[in-house]
Amino acid sequence: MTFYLIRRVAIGIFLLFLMSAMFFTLTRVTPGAPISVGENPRIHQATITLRLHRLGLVDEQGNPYSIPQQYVQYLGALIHGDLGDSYINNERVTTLLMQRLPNSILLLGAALLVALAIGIPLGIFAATRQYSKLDITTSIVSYVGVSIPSFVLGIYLLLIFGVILKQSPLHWGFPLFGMHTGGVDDPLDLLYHMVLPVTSLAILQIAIFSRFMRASMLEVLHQDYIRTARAKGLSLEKVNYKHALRNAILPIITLVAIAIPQIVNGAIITEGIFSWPGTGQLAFQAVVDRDYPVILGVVMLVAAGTVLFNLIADVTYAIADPRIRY
Amino acid sequence: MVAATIAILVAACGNAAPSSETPRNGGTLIWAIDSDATSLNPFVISTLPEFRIMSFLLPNLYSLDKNLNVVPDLADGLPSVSSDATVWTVKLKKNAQWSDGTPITADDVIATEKIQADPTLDTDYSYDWSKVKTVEKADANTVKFTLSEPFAPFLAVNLVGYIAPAKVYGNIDPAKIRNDPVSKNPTVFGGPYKLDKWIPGQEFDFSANTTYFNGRPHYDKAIAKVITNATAAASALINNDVAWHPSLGESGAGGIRKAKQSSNVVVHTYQDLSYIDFRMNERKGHIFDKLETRQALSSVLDKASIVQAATQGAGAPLWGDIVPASWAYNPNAIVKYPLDVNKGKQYMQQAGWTIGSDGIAVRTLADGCAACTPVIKPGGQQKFVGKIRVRAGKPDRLSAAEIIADQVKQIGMSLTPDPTDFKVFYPPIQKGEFDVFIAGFSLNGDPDDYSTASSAQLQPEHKQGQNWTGYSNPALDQLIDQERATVKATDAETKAARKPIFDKIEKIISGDVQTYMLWADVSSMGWSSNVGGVVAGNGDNTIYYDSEYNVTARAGWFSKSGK
Repeated sequence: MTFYLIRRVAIGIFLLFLMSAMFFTLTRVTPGAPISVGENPRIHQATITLRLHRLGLVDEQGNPYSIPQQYVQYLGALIHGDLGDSYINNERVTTLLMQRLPNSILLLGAALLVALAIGIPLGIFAATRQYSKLDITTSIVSYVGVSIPSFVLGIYLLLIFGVILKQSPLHWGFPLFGMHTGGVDDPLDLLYHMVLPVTSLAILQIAIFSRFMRASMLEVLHQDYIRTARAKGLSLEKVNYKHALRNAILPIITLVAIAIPQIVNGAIITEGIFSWPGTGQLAFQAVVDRDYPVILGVVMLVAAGTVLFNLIADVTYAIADPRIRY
Repeated sequence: MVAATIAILVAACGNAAPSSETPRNGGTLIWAIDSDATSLNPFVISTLPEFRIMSFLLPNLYSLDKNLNVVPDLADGLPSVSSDATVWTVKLKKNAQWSDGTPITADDVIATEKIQADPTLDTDYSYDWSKVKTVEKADANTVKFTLSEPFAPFLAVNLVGYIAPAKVYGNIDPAKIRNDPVSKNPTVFGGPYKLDKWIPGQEFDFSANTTYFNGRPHYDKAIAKVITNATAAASALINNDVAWHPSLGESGAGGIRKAKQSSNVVVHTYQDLSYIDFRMNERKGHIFDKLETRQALSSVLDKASIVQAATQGAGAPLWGDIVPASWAYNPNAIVKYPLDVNKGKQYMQQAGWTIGSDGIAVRTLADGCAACTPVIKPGGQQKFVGKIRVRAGKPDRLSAAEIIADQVKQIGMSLTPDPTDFKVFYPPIQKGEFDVFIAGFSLNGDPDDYSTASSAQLQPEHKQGQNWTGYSNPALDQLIDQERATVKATDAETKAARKPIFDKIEKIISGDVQTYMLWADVSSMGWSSNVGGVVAGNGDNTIYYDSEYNVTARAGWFSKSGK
């Protein structure tokens, strides 16, 4: 296990290195300079040099660094947790990410928890009552949930609960935007603002988790050892929830491990729809503005998260299933 | 893009009516901005949302009123001008003070000018103080600007703008001002509100500056909420979640219509000071080098249908480069080419073009064209084939390019829209390596055409300038120089003397089709009907001026309900 962990960490670091080199090079060979026309045509050359030097693109005299030189500098800073300066925001990329990351973790973390809390029991429920009316209903609803992209759902939720109901005589609904009502900063108000974006994100995940859980559970329930357990006279609950569930949950661990790094990435479209100030919104704006250091920062954060959580998933496998040995 | 002040001018709309309620203090003004700020440093900010935030926080020396007239803000009266029109003396209001209780003095005005004029200033905003020889403090409340020559735009261009506290910004190296901590955390204010808190990506919280020199603002607090979704922002206005939505137009025709239908909302629809045009490379050997070719283009384009189809009603057809909102606008001074395809074909023939068997015009270039792509040797044939450079992500402009390309086929012009990312849009244009481009230009309060039409501003022929077309006309240059040098004792006299000159300028620019004007942007702004004190202006198109300059107007708004 220890050797396995060391090997996986080494591979992970190598992958991150490879990705950083690839994406760094891509951002540098793409046409368009950080300071260009459209900005100040009267700006002094010395000031441009100072800015470009701060961005790690030229030396103090204004001589451009080659891409490998820039990358070595970037890597040196990256090791110390410094992702450089944003081209647009007049701010360190690390600072920008730290401002937005908690908001995305809150939103997507809540959506993931809601999805797990609803999707897994729903999948188990459907599998243990295969072909019942409830199973069929759950399946249909799940298919619909999987088929609707979260941003489409978000727009409809916003329209129904944020506009139509609010403008109806009921005057009832949920907020259209942001994390808080202006000037308010309390947990209840936060929850109130989370309802629509969390719902729009969770529904797709609920559908996915319930489908996977149902399929996985059904596969396990048809295994010989389950039949044996039943034949030995164990109660249905014990068979389902002690013997079957533990084996059926393994594929879900992979799904969750893939979903967690996406929290770092933020829900680019959903955060935009609900004006949620997370990393997704930051990443989207960075793409629009061609703010390469920020794009690179988000990419590296997601890459690091993916490597880390895949490793955690593999370790969790071993805990969930004693037969798995590394 | 353009080194000019972003400004918006609001024009009359049916459901807007001046409020007659008595102003009362209290309540919170919650309003929507469509993106977060990247800085709160007055010398660094460059986007409209940033200027809107700043308009709550800092005073102007002079402002532009609802009809675009220059009016005093921090200044005590309009400036006095010396008989030779080179010395402008500005007196400041004696009761003006910063939020920390210290007076706003001539030192602050001088420090602001010095920072803006510093060639090393790290900003995306293009300040031009090149006409100013010296700035002196006559006394604590009087500043004397000495210019190198009479310069009429000085009042509306240089003296209309923010004044920043010298004690905060005066000691910062202008080259390093962008990343100075104060850029994210300003602490001293002189506008109607003070900034309490900036939550990145979420909101800006303001509280009333009770010592504001033009009188305490009526709202106790103001909150700018960042709402990136235009539809959500429009709905928020209708829901009364926000009381002011300055970018209502972003929600499209449907959003504006719903807002107008709502009894909760008052909408002002306005033609702003920005325009979109079709700018041709008129240098020798390029396809639009002859006047007759540009006249041919003007004769076959159905401007009204192009603008309507491209903007879906969010553009007003424009013929001259002085927008209707300006005091210098005169519709009778503009040359309009009527829609006449046969006349267009005649113009093409006069320019030496004949339509080939493939339907594309062709001509013989006696001198060739070394700057063309591909290079044409002397005596070689040139086909009328070119690209319309248009910014990617601007569907209205792309749509206009497609319609134009279709309409000019009738006279043998083969033009292809070429959507290009903004980051790489301008460098080839600056080098003169383009056929045509469609772009937007924003104007300030003065209609001066110098930067885009004077031959002194040709680029790449000169280091700086925005006359990228290559158009050069000594008669026009003389008129532009003349209007810039026309300064009288009062602003009204100066305008009266400059207006006939602008008429002549417009006649030349529109007659020579120096640029083919497309439309003036029509924008919309909405207020909750609970907001009082929103004053509409007079005039054909102008009812409300909203931009960084309208500081005092913010203070005049009030909550009718007191909430």
